[in-house]
Amino acid sequence: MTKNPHPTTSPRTLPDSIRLRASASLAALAALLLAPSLAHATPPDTYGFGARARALGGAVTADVSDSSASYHNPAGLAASEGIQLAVGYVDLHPFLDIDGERSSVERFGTLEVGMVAPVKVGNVITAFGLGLMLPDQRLARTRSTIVTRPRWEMYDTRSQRIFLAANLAIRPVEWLTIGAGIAFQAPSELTLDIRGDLALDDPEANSRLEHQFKGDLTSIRYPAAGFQIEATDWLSFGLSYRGEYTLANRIVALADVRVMRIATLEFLLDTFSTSLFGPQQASLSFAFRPIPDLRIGLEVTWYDWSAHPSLIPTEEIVLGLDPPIVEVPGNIGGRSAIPLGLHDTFVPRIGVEYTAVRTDAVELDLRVGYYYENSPFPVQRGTTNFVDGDEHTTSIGFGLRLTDLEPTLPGHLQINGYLLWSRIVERTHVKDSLVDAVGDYTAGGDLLGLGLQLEVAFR
Amino acid sequence: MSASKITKRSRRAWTPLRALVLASILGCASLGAETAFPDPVQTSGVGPFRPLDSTETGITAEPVGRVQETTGASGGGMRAGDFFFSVESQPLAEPPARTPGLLPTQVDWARFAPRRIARAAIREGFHGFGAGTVVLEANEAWEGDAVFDPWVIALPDGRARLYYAAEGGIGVAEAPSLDGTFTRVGDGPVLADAAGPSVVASEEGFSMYFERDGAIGLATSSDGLAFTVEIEALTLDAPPSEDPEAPGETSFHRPGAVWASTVAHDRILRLYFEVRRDDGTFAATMAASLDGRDFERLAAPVYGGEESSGAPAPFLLPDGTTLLHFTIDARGTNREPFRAPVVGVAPSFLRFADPPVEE
Repeated sequence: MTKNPHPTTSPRTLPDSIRLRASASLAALAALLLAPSLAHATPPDTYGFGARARALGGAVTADVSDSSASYHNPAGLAASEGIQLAVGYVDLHPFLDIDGERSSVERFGTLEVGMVAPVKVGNVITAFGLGLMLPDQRLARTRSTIVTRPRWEMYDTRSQRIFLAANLAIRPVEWLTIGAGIAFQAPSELTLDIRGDLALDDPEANSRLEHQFKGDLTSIRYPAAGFQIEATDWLSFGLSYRGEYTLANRIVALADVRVMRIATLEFLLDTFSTSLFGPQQASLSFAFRPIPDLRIGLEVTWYDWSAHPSLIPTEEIVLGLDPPIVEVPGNIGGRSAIPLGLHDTFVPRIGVEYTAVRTDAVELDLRVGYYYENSPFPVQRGTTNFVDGDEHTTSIGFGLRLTDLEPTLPGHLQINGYLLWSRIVERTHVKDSLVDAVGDYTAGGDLLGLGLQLEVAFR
Repeated sequence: MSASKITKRSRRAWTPLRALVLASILGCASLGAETAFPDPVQTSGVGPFRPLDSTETGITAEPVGRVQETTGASGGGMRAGDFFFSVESQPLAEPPARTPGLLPTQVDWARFAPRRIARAAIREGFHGFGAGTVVLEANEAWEGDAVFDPWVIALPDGRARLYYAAEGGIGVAEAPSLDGTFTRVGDGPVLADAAGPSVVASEEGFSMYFERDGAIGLATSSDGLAFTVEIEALTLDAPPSEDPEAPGETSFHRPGAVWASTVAHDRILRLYFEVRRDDGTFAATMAASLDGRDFERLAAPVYGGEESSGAPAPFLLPDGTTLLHFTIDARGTNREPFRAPVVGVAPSFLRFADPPVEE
């Protein structure tokens, strides 16, 4: 029995006129989707999603058809050959140094769950997909920025978030799939209210203060969309888009306190900060199959980092006394946002997959991937200290597929694994000021990671 | 029931339990634990300097950061190698009335015995020093009755050279080594009408920063003995303050210089000094320069405590960590103000020993 090595991309041909019309309509759709939009942040932006995709350097947008399509290209969901459930675990360890001292950047461990559910109605396939990354240490973390403390901005808190995405895809014709969906995040707004009487003579004994704390985690959604075209039986390409996301934090502290029953002290602290930003991004990808057992993926991703808002919180501190029994300054402090000066990046990716073993019962794919991400952060010459560096990431992996499992399983069972190494090229930050509080320093390091995923597919 | 059946049944019961225990262990192993904020990184020597505590200095005397237990007044001191050079001056048994016109925190040297220069050895395992022994006292006519403001450098051949201030200016003494006996070089001051010498050596020769008439000047020398004044008053003005009511700076004193390096610059001259203000307060601050002549000034003091800080003298450890010896205001048990010698470290998060246990 011979099997198609890539069941989701079976050989298909179509007339040139149809391809032209389809291309035009897809270009219009792409233009619509590429319009800037505001949305919010995810760990896959840092580490990718799915074991096969990571092993291939993320160069999968053109032909992804497993559950990782929920992140890499929703269109790929409609190319799935059946219901798929995948669960995996990712373990990444940073070894990042500043001036030779190990930085306190946490390891990143997460449970990854993906699901694809295609439905065929007539000749049209529609599919629903769900992607979830559930970090095992904390579901969300926000840390304010202390400008005098160098921080690995891309690795410190960015990954400490849940990623949840839901997508729909359609395959109207055999050579085309289109998909779109949304992902969810939550910013936070916190309010601390303090009211009561403050006795200056013996504050601990005679003061009567009460406080109220309000927290609000509002859901925010951002879009993802894409399409895949299988031009020939050996070439496919795809385009995907993910929206911009900005997770903002606002903390308001209000104090309305009677002082010695002779005056009212009013205090307002209002801080607003961006805790996490993900740029809008678009990936253009090609997948070639020069021979049936070899697949080469090439991809480039554009990241709109130049739209990054400042990570330095803005603060307003206002003090008032009514009646003004003593003179107090009104606006007593605060600070303004400092522009970060990030630039857009284009990240090239390549992924090669070779089917080394193919029998009726077993298939073994070997994978290797690479991508280069030049840092969007400039050298930190001023008061900010957002540490980053150009990143070279290399990965190797495998996919072991057991196909002869009937009647126990009418489908296949696949185990995907990978090892990943990122080299953050050392970079020297030279301050413009000789009396800068931090001074000059170098920063660089490595990230090592591995992951394992179990995928069950039902025909 | 046979024993084998019991064993099999027990195994069946244990299997889910084992799985539960294993799952619990794995689950707990990955529970989130809060991690500290990123450590500060300070490579500029700007500070703020954290006063070392008693477990780091080996000195329990107040105030915190005390680098040496002294009973007398100190005009500050500086470290060279494993020795601390400072002024030794005991209170007079029957002091005269306090000199009128002095600021409340100002040391009245008339109430102390004439100042002498003492050397103290480091306490092993600590950054504090033991009691000093006098290595130089005034006995030349041009010196008047006091020698003070010591600054010692080690020469490449192992000799130690002591620059000091006296009534008539800045003099020089030398010893075969840092722990040797100092004898004067020459019969007069190498720089007249100046005080607070701080000398650094480089390939180009010796640079002496000194104070004169409330300003800090620069003199250079090829041999470290014959100096030529190059800049009478360095430009060390602070950047404009955002606070219109901030006290103005009136004069600069007690320079302490050191050549340092960073990953980007082979050498940066860091000049620490004492700035006095028109409200009577003073503070240690610093400026930095690539050529030792044109300086960029730090606006803030290098010590963040409430006390006035002064007479800063830097010392670089082999790993680049900066220790700053300076004085902070204190009062003796007789309420007499004196300037207590203390030592601080930057980066401030560095520790040389576990902190003392609070009772």
